[in-house]
Amino acid sequence: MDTSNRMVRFGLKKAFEYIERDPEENLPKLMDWVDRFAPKGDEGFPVQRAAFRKVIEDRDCAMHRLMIRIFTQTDKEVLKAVFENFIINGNLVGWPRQEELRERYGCNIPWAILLDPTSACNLHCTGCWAAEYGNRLNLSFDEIDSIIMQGKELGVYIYIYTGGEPLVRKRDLIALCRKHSDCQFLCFTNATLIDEEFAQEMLSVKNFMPAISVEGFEAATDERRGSGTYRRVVEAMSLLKEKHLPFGISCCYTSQNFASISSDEYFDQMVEWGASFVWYFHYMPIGNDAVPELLPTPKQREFMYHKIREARRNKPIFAMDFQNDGEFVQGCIAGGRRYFHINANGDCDPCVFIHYSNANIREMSLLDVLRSPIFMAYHDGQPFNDNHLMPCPMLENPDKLREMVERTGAHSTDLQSPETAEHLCEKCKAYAEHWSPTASQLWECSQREKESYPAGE
Amino acid sequence: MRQTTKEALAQALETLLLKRSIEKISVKDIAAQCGVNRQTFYYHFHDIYDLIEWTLVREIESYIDLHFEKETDWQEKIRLLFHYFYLHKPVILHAYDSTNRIQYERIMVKRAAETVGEIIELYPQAQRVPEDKREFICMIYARGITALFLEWVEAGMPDERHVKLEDYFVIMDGSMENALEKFLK
Repeated sequence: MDTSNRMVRFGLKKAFEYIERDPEENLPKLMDWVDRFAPKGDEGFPVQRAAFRKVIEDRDCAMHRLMIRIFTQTDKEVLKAVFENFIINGNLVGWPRQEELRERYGCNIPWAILLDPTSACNLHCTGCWAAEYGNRLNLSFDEIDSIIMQGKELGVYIYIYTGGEPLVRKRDLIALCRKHSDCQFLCFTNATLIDEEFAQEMLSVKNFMPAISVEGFEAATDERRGSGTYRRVVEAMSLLKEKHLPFGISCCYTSQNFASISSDEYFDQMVEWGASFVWYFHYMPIGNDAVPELLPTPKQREFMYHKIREARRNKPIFAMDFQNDGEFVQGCIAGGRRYFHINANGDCDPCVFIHYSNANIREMSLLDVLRSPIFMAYHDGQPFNDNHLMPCPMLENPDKLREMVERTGAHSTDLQSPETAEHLCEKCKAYAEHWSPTASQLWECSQREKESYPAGE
Repeated sequence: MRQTTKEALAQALETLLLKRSIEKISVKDIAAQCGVNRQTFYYHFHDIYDLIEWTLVREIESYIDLHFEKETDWQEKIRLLFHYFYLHKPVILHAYDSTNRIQYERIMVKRAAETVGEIIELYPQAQRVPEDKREFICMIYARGITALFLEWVEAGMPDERHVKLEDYFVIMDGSMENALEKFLK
């Protein structure tokens, strides 16, 4: 691993020199180099590489335009760090290590770890699930440092902050970026704490990328998040764009806002703001105060399914849908299969949305967390449904979560208002029943398409 | 404010290096020495070597400001630098052990190459030599002087006259023009 790592870094430097000169001409050369280095067989991501090659060679497709935009408008040093940490360490180096350990320990080994540095937030938005955690909990610098050190041992190089508002702890986060310069950090944030000084620090550490929550235009944003918020978020994005710092956007879709945040106008606006990616999250009815009426109807969810796929073809921004894109990752990725969540109290939740656990990182090692009862139940139960449009053991298969929580004796880690799995799953029952026929129909369609174009599209 | 924290950390490291060698010094020790915590250290520096590099560069620069004149020739500059290191012998010997040689090599080669690069630019021929060839010449010179320096440190930094600088100068004098000429486009 060491020798190939050194060769990789040397090759990378050369590759970037080529690309800097002329991305259109030289991106294919980088791809040739990646192909040469990639491990043989499935470990080398042959399907993903083929997809990349197509994007690189087809100059008219939206993803090609996005790629050129990223290469020409991102700070070169930052881009290099992202490439090295995310692509090389996070996947090509990390993946074989993860696979080896999955085999050795017979449990899930994640690709990324989500963690809440703090439960505190500087905004007080209506309906925010993070707010339920209350305001006084923090993972200390040493605790996060230890999680990352243990994570790297397991081949995990991607860390995603959520919360709370992680940037309440921005000095610690910069310190962690600087210390772990071989990792890529992503951060869900409201962006209101991104200022000139912080942008400079981001340029200096190079491995910190924000995913900014923006859910619509000015009126909708300010109504829910407080007046003036929209303007502050837009200002932060314009600062990032000016500094050539890459960032993405995250959106939660509900029965109320789904149309506005997936409109062509909104996609164009996100591109204009300078976002490279947008990550959509289906509203989840978690917590005792949840509002099940906000759950999208089957028609609305189907609309998002088509709309986001259409955007991937037409808009130069990479759109992902956490609930509808299960087909690309074989269903549920939680429980450590690809990721899990550590809250600001150290509780290790299988998913950012599923707050039941038997494990706290303050009491056990990362590996033992992954071998704890509820994580093993996920490991043994995945995929929870053969139809990857119904991936979740809560939302689309509520009986599964209820059963796992009961069998493993996992307790609620909700710090504000513990909710029983019974209560939570009951809210999803009707949703699951209604979504099932639509999901089956969409799934059959997509399977048929795959069979007629086996090379992947 | 930030500058003072960095300076305080540099000062703390030097204080510790006067007392014991680097393998017995942790980030925690350095932080404690100047009354801050580990995260403050990492806010400013990637690791101890990052701090050492910053400290060295800063101190050498202020030493240069004080002792180098416009008319000081390059041989005298190198003599002065070795003298500077000789004056800081206890700290440098504590900071160096053969297992971390690679760290110092990296820092020294990088800095020395930059300096050689500045000297090369002064030659009129330099403009007619391709960039990669100029970089190559820089690296050869940088590696030479770095090896000379590190071997001297490894020998325990005896009186700086032991470095054989005068012999080095005999070989180097006029050689750069020669090297550039050979790579003319």
